[in-house]
Amino acid sequence: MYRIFIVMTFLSMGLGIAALFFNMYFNRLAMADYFVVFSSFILLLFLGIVTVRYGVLIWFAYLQHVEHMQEPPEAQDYPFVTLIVPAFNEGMGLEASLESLIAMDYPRYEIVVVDDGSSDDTYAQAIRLAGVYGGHRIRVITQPNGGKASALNNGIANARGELILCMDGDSRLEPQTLKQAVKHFNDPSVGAVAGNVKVVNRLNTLTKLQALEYIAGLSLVRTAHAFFRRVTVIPGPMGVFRKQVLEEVGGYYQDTYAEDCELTLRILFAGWKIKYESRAVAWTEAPENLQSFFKQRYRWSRGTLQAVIKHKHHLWKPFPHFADWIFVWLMVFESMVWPGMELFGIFFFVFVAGWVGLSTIIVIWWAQLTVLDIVASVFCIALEKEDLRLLPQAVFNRLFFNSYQNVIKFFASIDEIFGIKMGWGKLERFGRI
Amino acid sequence: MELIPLLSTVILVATVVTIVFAVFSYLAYRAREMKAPRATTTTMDKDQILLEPQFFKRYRHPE
Repeated sequence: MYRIFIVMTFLSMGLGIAALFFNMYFNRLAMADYFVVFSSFILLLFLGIVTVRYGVLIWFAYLQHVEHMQEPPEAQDYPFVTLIVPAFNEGMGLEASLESLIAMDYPRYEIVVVDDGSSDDTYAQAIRLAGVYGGHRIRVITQPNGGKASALNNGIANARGELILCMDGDSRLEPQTLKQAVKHFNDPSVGAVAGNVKVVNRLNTLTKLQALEYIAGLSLVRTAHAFFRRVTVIPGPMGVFRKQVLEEVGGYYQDTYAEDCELTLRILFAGWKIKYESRAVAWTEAPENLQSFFKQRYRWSRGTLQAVIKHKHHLWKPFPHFADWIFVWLMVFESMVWPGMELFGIFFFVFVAGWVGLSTIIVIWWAQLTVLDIVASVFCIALEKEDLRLLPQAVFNRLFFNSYQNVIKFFASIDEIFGIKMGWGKLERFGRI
Repeated sequence: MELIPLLSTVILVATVVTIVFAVFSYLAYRAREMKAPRATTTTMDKDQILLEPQFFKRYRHPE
């Protein structure tokens, strides 16, 4: 039913635009003045929405930061934590990942490595490292290849800890990560804590753009949402959960390509709060070439859409969880409506610049968006004490990076709506962690 | 050449090239997906709860 709705929406938009073009072609002399006014109005409306969005995010991220400064600096007690490392063909990066876990500044934890039927030496590496660091610290499980979700579920079933940290097999955690995340569980209503994922391989323009995006895009949104204790996506590389919560909601499901997003929604709808800890840092490798980047973002977009569609019945039920309802709609806006609006904006202003010759309008549109990106970037870099040398990437964001991603999101949405099959794929890793 | 028309030309060209490139990336991705062999993986029932532990080769810590 929703597919018919979406197709009808696009069809009517297309017909409306075609009618506008048809009208303009036959009345182009008279339409020129009208079009200047109309396009200025569209520009103002679009930029107004963008500015409000950035302003709201920055404001609530600032409030969350002020509140965060008043929290205890670290955990006062130390519940036993199980760190689950699902690994599929991670032979290149597993040692660095496990070394970072062994170096964790936390007194009571265990590590469970789940080899998901790897075809390389992942299992042998895990066994060797368990021997090197002591078998009581690291346990190794192997299973036939069943996907990340099944590997995580297997780890959860074997976990002894009251809290469970789920991460990626190619991530590296900082020593203070666990202490910083665990302190939030003093609040019994908190079911999970999302960590701060950062890009480690800042080697070329693409990876630097992603590094800035993680800081000034993803983290900014999570920080703002954390003020309301409603983070909508706990990232795969770093999330800490109460074991009780995972058992209550049924663990990870494999029916979407964004199992982390889908799990987060289930936890939210079960009534638990989800916080974000900026000092619980996980370093991860970002795709270094466009092919890998495309695959990753395509999977993220389809996975997020699948997760929202799976829980679409909540979209029409504002009560009893009104705040969660608002945040799910925000997620729909950020993942589907917003990219569509940006693409529409691009096409509209390109058309206006070409057809009517209003080249100023496209410069104003780009300049305002870039200024907003720079303001958000400076704010987030200052908050997280990050590398200011990433700031120049903000200039390229609107020219290339954002447009490229919006096209990926557009095609991912269309493919998902029409049920076109896709595979998981395996991102190329270079062991940079 | 004045600054605004120059800037607008650069922005216009960069945006159009990026979008065209993204469309070709998508077409290339679809072509690769159609050629790639499909691996068979276990699928979970939507209502399935946590898996029972599966041990292919159980690791035992040497006593």
